[in-house]
Amino acid sequence: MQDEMIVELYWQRDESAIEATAEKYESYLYKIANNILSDSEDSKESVNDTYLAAWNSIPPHRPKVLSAFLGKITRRISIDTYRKKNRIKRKAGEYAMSLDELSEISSTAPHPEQSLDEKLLTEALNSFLKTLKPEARSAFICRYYFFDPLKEIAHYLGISEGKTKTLLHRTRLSLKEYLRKEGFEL
Amino acid sequence: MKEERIIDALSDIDEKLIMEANALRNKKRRIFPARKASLIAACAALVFLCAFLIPILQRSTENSVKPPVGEGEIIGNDTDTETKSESEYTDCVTEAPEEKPDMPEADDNGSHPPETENESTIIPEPDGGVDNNSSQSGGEMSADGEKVNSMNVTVLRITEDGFICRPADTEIENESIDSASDIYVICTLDISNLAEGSTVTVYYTSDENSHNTLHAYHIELQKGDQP
Repeated sequence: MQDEMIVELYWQRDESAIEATAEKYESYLYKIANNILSDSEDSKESVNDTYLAAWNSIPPHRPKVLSAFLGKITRRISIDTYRKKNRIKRKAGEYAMSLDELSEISSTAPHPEQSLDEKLLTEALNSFLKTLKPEARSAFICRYYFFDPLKEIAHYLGISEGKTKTLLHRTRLSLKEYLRKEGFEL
Repeated sequence: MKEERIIDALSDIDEKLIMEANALRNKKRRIFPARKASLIAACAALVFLCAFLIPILQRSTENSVKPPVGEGEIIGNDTDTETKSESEYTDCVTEAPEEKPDMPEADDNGSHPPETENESTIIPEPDGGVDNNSSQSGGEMSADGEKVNSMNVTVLRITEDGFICRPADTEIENESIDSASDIYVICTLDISNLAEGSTVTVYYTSDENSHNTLHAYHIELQKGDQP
């Protein structure tokens, strides 16, 4: 089914939109989730949460590229799940436990200043990525957006794993220099 | 955390960039150029080896099948000798081979064997005999390792299985056959060219002989005596 039709189903509040989404994008979304979580059950849960998030956000949203829209949601949910799980693991000390308890009373929404910083950082990343050669850009996005393993990226690009590693290392150095020039302190 | 900020910021990057990378991910996987290059190199090496090894192998195979030249010649000679031995008992002069390895080059008188069509052929006699005559000459070795002698004789009378002759250097005062002194040459050669009174050179081996009887090994007509 075409993406426009699926989006239309969401807009019509037709539950078959979720079935159509799952049929077309489940494996794609599962891969993103599993690259982050490395856990089958958690990944499936992230994908299901993605369908729910899509159902809740369409409408009012009308994504131009459904796959990118869904992938972005899965990525966010999976990263949140990962961080949550890591916090639980770190709860060994009383200090960490106290921090976790206090986080419940603090606002979950990001601070406006923080949100602005993130937006500026995203813009800087976009600008930086557009300066890169397609090979380096794709390698960077595959690695840090989709969290694909190095071996797979090497396969995608048709280069060796070592060369992929070097390519990513150089891109990181370039990004560091770019962000420093743009005034970001990371 | 710094790295988490970048991860979070990447969540909102341009969808076109994400699609570009995703298109690459969905693309059919290519063979590494390095691997492709090594494959090509391996193929080239294989072709190179084939191009050089096949002729070498062929040559070595040919050499292993074909015996050395010297050895082959020996075998061939043996076979030829055997064939000749079987066939030439009934052969005529004209069918004789050109090669005459055991023939003496010249007799005592210095006369070379005539190279004519009437030339007789060496025919080994299985039970030939030799009469040690005073006029005999030669001393070469036959193919069988026997000593070959020759003698110039004058044909006195032709018989069914040979002819009766007398040493050429003997004056023929009495043309009547003297069975005591004349030589009886036995041969299975074609002696149709022979004529009574002609002079021939008789070649024989010295191993088997009996008194006054000679088993001819080869007969050559003297020049001037040819019909």
